[in-house]
Amino acid sequence: MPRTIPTTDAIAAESFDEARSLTLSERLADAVRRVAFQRSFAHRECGHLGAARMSSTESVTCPACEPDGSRWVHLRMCMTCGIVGCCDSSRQRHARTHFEATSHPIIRSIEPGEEWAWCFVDRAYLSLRGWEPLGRVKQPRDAFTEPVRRLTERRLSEPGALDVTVRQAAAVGAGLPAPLAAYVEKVRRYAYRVMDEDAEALVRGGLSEEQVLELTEAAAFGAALTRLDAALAVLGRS
Amino acid sequence: MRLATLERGYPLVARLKLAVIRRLGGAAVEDAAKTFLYRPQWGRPFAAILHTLLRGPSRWSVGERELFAAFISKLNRCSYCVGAHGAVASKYVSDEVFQMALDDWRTAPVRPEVRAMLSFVEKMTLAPDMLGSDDASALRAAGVDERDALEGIYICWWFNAGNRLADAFGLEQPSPEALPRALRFLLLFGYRV
Repeated sequence: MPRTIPTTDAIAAESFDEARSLTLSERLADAVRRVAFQRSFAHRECGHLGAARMSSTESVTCPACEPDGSRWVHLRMCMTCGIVGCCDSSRQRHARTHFEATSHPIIRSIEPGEEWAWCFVDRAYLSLRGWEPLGRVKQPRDAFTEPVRRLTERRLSEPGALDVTVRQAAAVGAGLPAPLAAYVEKVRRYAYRVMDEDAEALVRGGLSEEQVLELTEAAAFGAALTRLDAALAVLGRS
Repeated sequence: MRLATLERGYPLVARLKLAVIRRLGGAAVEDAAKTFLYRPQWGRPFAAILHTLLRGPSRWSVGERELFAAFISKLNRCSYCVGAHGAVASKYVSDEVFQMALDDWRTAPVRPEVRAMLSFVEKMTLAPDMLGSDDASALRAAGVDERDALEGIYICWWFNAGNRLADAFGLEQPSPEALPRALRFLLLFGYRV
């Protein structure tokens, strides 16, 4: 049986119910290591840190958690490739699964103000004092830009009942055949006028209800995105 | 329009959730939950963003954010969203203040920051092409910093999509008798599904 690596990354475990699945001894060991790390500032040397290339990121989400909407506690970043994953106190432990899949040895915390890394191979905390500060600490905190981009992207480009090109045309409101164009225009400009007859007409024209639904969503998300882009541009964030 | 496909085809977990939501919040809340749970891989993150926007940590109060939501919905003439979010907003700010802000934000007795944000989202909803750098300066001048502005802007983004979906899918405004229950549900549980 492979030796499982004990959990050492339970900084916020106390406040997080889902961390209760750790055994008491694991949690005690975590606490001891954490205290030892925080008290002794003579950190261990680790041969892997020299090869770390990435030290900062602007990401504020765990991309692997996002698709199913699961929550994370704290965020870590792989210092080899810069991928962000969630910590061991989070349900899915994506930083660890990334290490298990790639053997990239070192993750760092990207929580604001934290300057430590963890080497999975040497099982050591490492200090990152003097490393360049994190991108996300300097940025104003913005928890929306990334999730919103990704959500819109997926909604418009993932395979569905309706062809992707049609959905993307509906999102920009141009380049559609006449009956579809009229419906999309209606949703974009005055959705409160959409009636049962509109759906019936589209279904008679050969669309399934599923496709009508996706067409509606694409038009609605396109209209919202137009406004978002305009607003972010005047804020200087486009 | 009511699509039959939104009335069926839910997996077991979603059906159970919907049953609980219907029991606690009534049919009006269940209607919105259905659109989120129909395609959970999209709908749940969409609902989660709304929950963070309206209930997450922010310098805007919950009432102010619900007011933004109701105001944007009114501009889009989405009676379902005005009904639901208006009810929550008027629980937090008083009924009169809420009505005044909805009717004419220029004279309503709200914080200058709120007034500036309402002005910005009005333009963003009705005439996004007309937004210019002076609109951003107006926000700054009223004391709305970048982070606050972003939150307002994303609430506006959400409702410009949400209003259209609610209207196109024919979500009906909750009746006055059903409103207290829906309201209690939204105050207790927020918008996550």
